[in-house]
Amino acid sequence: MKLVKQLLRNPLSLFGIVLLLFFGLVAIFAPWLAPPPNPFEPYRIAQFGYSPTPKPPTGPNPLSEVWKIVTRHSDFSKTHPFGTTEGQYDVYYGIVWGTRTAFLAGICITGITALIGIIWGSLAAYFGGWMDMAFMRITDIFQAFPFLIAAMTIAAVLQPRIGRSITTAAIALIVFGWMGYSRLIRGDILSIKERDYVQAARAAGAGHLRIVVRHILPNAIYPTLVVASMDIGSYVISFAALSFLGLGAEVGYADWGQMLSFARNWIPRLHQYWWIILYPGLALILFVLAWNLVGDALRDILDPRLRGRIAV
Amino acid sequence: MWRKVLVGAVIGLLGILGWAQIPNPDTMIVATIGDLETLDPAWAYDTASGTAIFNIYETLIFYDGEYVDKFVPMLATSWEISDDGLVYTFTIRKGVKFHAGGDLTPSDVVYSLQRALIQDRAGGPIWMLLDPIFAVHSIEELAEKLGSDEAVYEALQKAIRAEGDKVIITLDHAYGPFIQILAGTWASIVDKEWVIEQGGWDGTANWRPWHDPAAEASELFNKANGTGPFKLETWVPGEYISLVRNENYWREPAKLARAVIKVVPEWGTRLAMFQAGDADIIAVPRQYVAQMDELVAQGKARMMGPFPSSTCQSGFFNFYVTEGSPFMPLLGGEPKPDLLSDIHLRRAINYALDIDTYIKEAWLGEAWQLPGVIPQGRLGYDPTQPVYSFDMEKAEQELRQAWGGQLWRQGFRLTITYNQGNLARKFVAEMIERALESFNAKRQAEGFRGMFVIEVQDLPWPTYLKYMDAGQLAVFFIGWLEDYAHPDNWVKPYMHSTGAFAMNQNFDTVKNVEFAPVYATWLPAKTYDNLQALFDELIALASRETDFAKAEKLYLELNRLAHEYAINVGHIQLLARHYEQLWVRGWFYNPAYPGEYFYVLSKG
Amino acid sequence: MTAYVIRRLLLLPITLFGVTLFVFGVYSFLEPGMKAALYVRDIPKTADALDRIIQKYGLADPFHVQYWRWLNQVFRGNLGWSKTAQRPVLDAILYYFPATVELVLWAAIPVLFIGIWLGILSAVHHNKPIDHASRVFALIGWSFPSYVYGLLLLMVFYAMLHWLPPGRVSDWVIKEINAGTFREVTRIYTIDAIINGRPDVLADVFKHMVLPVITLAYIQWALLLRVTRSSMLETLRQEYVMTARSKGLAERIVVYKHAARNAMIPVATMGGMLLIGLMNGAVITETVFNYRGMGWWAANAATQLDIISVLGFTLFNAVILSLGILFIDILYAVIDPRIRLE
Repeated sequence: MKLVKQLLRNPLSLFGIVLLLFFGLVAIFAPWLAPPPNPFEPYRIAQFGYSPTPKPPTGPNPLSEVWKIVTRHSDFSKTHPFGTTEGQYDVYYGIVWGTRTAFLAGICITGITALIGIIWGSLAAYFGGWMDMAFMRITDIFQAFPFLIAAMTIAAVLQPRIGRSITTAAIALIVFGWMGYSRLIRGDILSIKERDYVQAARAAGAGHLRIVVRHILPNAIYPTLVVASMDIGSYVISFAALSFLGLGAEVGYADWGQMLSFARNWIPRLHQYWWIILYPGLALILFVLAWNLVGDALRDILDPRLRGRIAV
Repeated sequence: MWRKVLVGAVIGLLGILGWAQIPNPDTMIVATIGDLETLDPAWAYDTASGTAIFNIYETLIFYDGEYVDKFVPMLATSWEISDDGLVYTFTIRKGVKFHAGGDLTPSDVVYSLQRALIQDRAGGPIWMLLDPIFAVHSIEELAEKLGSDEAVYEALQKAIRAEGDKVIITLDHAYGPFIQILAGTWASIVDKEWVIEQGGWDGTANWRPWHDPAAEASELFNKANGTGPFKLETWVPGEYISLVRNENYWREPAKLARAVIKVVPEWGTRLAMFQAGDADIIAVPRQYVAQMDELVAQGKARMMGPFPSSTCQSGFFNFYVTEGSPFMPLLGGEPKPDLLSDIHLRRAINYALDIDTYIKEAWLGEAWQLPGVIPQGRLGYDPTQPVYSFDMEKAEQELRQAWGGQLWRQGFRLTITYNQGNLARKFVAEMIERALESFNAKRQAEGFRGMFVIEVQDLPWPTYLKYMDAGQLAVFFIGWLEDYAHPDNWVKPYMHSTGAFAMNQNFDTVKNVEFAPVYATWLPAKTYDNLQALFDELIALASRETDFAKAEKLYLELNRLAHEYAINVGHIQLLARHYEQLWVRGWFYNPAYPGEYFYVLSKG
Repeated sequence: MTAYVIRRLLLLPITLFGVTLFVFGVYSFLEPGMKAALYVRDIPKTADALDRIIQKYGLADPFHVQYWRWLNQVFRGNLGWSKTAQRPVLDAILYYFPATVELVLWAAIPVLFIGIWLGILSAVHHNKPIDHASRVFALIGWSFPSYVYGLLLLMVFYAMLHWLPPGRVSDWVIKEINAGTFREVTRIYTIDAIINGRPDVLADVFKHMVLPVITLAYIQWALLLRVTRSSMLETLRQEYVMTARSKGLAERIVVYKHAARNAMIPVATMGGMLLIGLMNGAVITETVFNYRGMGWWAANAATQLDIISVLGFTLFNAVILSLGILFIDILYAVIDPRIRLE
């Protein structure tokens, strides 16, 4: 509770929280904000025709258009408040549903990655000895690859097997994301492993799992969780980057990175077709900024030790 | 009077200004999307490589201007075909020099063709030559058939030989398109001595070491020494290839001093190059034609076309999906590999596709539906032959008849596949999906529970090829780019048991096919064991037919059968556009050219 | 110290072996038929085309056989054939490498100097406007995806104003290179332009370089600024700094001579991270700006599923990174023996 109060008192993190709440509401109310033409495939961006040339926003002010749609509760099929992009995908629709993709990508990828890292690091630290050695050498190998390049490779190789999709991109990021967490938690566990209460539990004959879950993790996990929460923003960026490179979400999927990749074909005329970059770009920036503001403040409050650490 | 003078002066001035504005007046710069794979004519099988090769090397004969069925002598001054269509005799031109200085001799011609045959790389173009000359699809197959590499060598010497100033090629069977195949880049003539110097096949029976090399392992991968109007200057892979004029050309030297083909994958950059005058001709993907049309409207570019291209797009039905396929069709919930062998279902799918909308939306109207399989401009194309037009009532009737009514009552599941990223194919697949699934409401009202389920699945290219090759795709959309401008190159892939697509379609699932000729009336009516046997026989007859009129009838017959048996869906021929700077002169469209033929082009 | 260096050097081959195993393991994830399809551009025209390729390259052999064959080739410098670059993968990497090095070097210079300088500045002026400004600057840099940022720059400075074009050099420079009037010595064009004595080419190279360098540098700036700032803040509170101040030394000397030096030690550990950031960033930046370097080529190859090229590129990057980090760590251990690295 104190934590929340502190977060709310800081104007920057307050701004972040407000932004996140806004995005959260957009994600929750997506079916009302942008009713999908095909209810079974809401993540396929509504498409109005096939022409490659982006069409400008209709209506004088996008925000008033949004307002109209919100109040009228539906039918945006006749207006395109944010215009359409190449292939006549509706930008507004893509941004609204893309919010869900962004939340999904940020939270799920970070969650799974952190989980893997924590399990791996705990095993290495708790059992120590040759196991620690072996586990850490494997971690070394994964860390020998530059993160995004390695993820790009995995995504390219997975494509023939499971197709171009958000799953491909997510797996690629997870495979190369967990090492930092496992190192962090390993260090923290090593420092408390020999403490009295752990020794006492061990003497009392508690099982390994019990010792780790009941006694060690609760005391070692916080720094890792804080770092993970700070990383959500950069995972969203990396995820969208893969889509932007053509290795993530498939064409027409409601994903901001995928929408931005259309802009690459129109570089000489971007000023003319500004809406194909500005709206998805803005959404992505604000979303990431919100997470970073909150994560930043969280770190300052919870763990001054981590000050200055930044994710890739 | 004064007015006229003034106008004349203005026009003259504009002309001078216009002239002065042409950048690099004797260099033609083309910006394309993809780089060439190799400069070895026997290895190359893509249009980018072909473009460089057909400007550097020459063939015995070549297409006459815009025609794909008329030929002019090139390295052969004349040619004769024996009455039985088996023996081709070419008189070789004298006084032709290779770029490196060697003289063209008949033995160079013999060596060039033999070298191509023994090289025969996997997935390469040489099957086109092997089939008519030896009735095999790979040189390895011939070696197995004859028992030894020496025997292959002897067979080569017998099939292609020099006699005085003549070269004589003897075929295994009469084969109409052979002359077209000889006009392709794979039949380019190289300098025997020079190739041997570069480490190429020495012309002996020990040919295995030069068989099936990797692209870069071929001695001609990045070197070229032809007789053509242009010489290779530099090839920087991934960047550009530049050609310079051959001053000792046996015809009038080319008007252009240099020609440069640049690899510019990004459309935006190509457009910027065009606008800056840094490119004379650029490749324009269909989705960006609107941007070029703006320039045309402003008088800053010239558009030629649309021309009927040598590319078609079609959906293919697999009559018997191989076991283990993840796309196994279901009938009433049960696996049914031969689901599509039912003619009514295939016709229903054809009727259910709103092909006009498909062409209008996905191809911006620049395509047309074809009857049968042969495109416009080739023998056997007849626009009066029937096509399947969009008609949901007929589709319903056919669906009710399919599998004796079981299909309508119990429903079915079918997967339509296309390669990932191809939006037009995605579009047509989804159109079929929506049309067929729209019958579900009516069927439910009639009390039938099982659904019509059409799944649209995109597959990455390697996966797509793998499943196609294994015969595991049920309905698949793909395109075909002609190898040689002859109807044989359409009926073969689409209908023959060894054809690129048909070999994965299992037409032999349809048994006891009655055939009564409509066009080829001299053929007897007959019952064939299966549909594939009928197709194979007619294709063989047509390609061996030396009588032009009879050949045409046979192709019409094949076209009719393709329609009657509805072996495809949404078979359309694409139209092609060409955009160039106003100062480009001499360009014309020949669908058999792999790219720009610089000899006919100039600037000014 | 020596023991540490030796230990690190011994670990390197193990890591690199793991790296090769991983890279090839990833490739083996594909079925033989898919691998064969990577070799053909078009539809196979004959029934046995794919089978012939599988047989020829032994694509259906057991894992260890294929791995061993591949490893042998890798040791001979053969990383396979790049379909997108039409040359051996290693050749392609070396061909595009100078362009990337040029970009990364130009980006690293402002990163190091401006990043560290701003960091010191904002620590010295803690909680003053300049501190807030540079913190906001850093936060934005950290939240701006470089591709959005790059595209926006292109929108303004290229599409709208026509000042700074994408690409690596203008067409006329390429023409001069082709014609031989401009000699490529290092293929790092800023250096080549100086060697050739061509200020016009140099100007053109800079014109193309400004936006990608800014794009690539910004995030790293943000990173370095934050680290420097917090490290500096801590040092400024230390006793010896206080002592120096109380001795009446000029603030300038206190800050730059005493405090900054020690504050730089934790900053130096960021070296590896900076390298990773620049390598990752180069892929995105080069793609956005059509700047023909390694990253542009690799991203292109990845979208065209030229997997052989991508694997080679990854392997190359992993080796560079491992060596780079090793170098940085050893350097660090030499500079600062107080710190025992784990």
